[in-house]
Amino acid sequence: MLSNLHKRISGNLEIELTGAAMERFFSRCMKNGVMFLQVRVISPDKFRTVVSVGDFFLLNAFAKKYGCHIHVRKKRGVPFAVKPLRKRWGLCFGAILMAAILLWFSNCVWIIRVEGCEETNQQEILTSLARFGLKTGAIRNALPLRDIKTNVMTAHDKLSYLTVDFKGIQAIVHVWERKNTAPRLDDKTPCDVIADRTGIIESLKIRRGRACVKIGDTVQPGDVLASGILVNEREEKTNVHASAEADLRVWHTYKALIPAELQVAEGTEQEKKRYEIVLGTRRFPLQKIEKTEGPWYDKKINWNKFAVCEDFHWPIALESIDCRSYRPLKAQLDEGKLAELLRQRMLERMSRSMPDAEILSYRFHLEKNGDGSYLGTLDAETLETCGLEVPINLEEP
Amino acid sequence: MKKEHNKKILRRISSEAEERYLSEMMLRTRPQINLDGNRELVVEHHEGISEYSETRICIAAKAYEIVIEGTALSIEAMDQISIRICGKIVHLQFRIQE
Repeated sequence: MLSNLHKRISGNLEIELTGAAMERFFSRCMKNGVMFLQVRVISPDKFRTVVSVGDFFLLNAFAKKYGCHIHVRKKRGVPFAVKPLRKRWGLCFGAILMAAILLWFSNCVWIIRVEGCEETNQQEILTSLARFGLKTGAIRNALPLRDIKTNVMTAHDKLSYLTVDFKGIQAIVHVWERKNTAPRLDDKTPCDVIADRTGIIESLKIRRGRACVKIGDTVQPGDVLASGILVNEREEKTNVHASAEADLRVWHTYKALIPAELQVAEGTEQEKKRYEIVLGTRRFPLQKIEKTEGPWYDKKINWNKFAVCEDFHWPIALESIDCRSYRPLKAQLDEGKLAELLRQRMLERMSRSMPDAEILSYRFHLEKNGDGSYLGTLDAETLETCGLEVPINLEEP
Repeated sequence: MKKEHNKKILRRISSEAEERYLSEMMLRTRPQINLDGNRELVVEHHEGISEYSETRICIAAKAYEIVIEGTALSIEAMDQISIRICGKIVHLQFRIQE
């Protein structure tokens, strides 16, 4: 592909060579750096070939010496396409200007789409995005995306996360809304405090309201920990904003299955470099595409963007990829190491999923199944704080 | 004094590099032949063609001539270093030049 592109840009000529002892002529030309492509025999003293424009002028010099006649059959490439336009400089300038304008505008955002809105208003998010820089006509590469995301998420309480993807001139903003969030109640609203998980109460702090459970009780999600309805000696009811916090002992079980056969990658010494031109969202490899990719899967991609200034990059880049070869090998599992690794990973996973929980104790065991796979089980006992405020339904008798 | 010393070192380095380059060149100038089945043949480090027809191509190499015979033979590309020949190759011969 690269050679074809080079031929197109530099221009080439299809010529017919007629004369005696043409082999000598070819040899002499080649020794002087001429490159012949697609040499075809028409008759014993007539050949057809393709040469570049630069080589054609060299040929002319030798043709006279060897008594060879050159006839040009076809002219191809950019120099010949541009030649008729030499005197029409205005047209050329206009074409270049238009190309530059198109490139400039293709680097801007012209369509903004917001996806994933259920409770939030799309228009509100678009307004926020515009306030922080992402608006129609904004230069894509100059956008402070991280700041925009942070600011928009801060401005909208209902959003839990948002991403911005660019597809050509489109910016696709995908939002994820906050779900299952407890409504914030002010201090004057009468409410109960309920449990939101299953466990045994380890400690209980009632700041306001009437305790409905005691230490050692087992609670389930929805059980009232502290009621906001107070009854005095004269059996008069008063509704208050209950405030309570309970520490629960909760048991969790995590399971992880390790397949019977595992493969690991063993690095070989082989390395190769590939280049691709990235034009917008399309990639053009600069070498023959390998249909069988093989084990070349460890890739390091380096980008070379063509920039006019710091804020503006042309939508064209050269990508160089360093590929390293690996060969897959069957892994030999060491049961002790596997158990230790799995235990660590599962504990990390549990800590990530429950950052506020305190792990009191845990038990890990690894068992081998009949098919050779391993099943890791982690039983953990944690101490977690619970207590969810829910308003009292005043209409109930 | 120091300048002369530097000059000596440079001369020695350049002569060593020259020797290395020449030895490499000697190795490289041997013709390399790469045959892909009987459909494609690439000859590197040749010294030009001495005969070219659809059934027979002769390529001059260092000490011998490579004769390729077959049908629908054509030279797809040739330059100072290499020649790529396509077609159905039937016979390949080295003719020692005396």
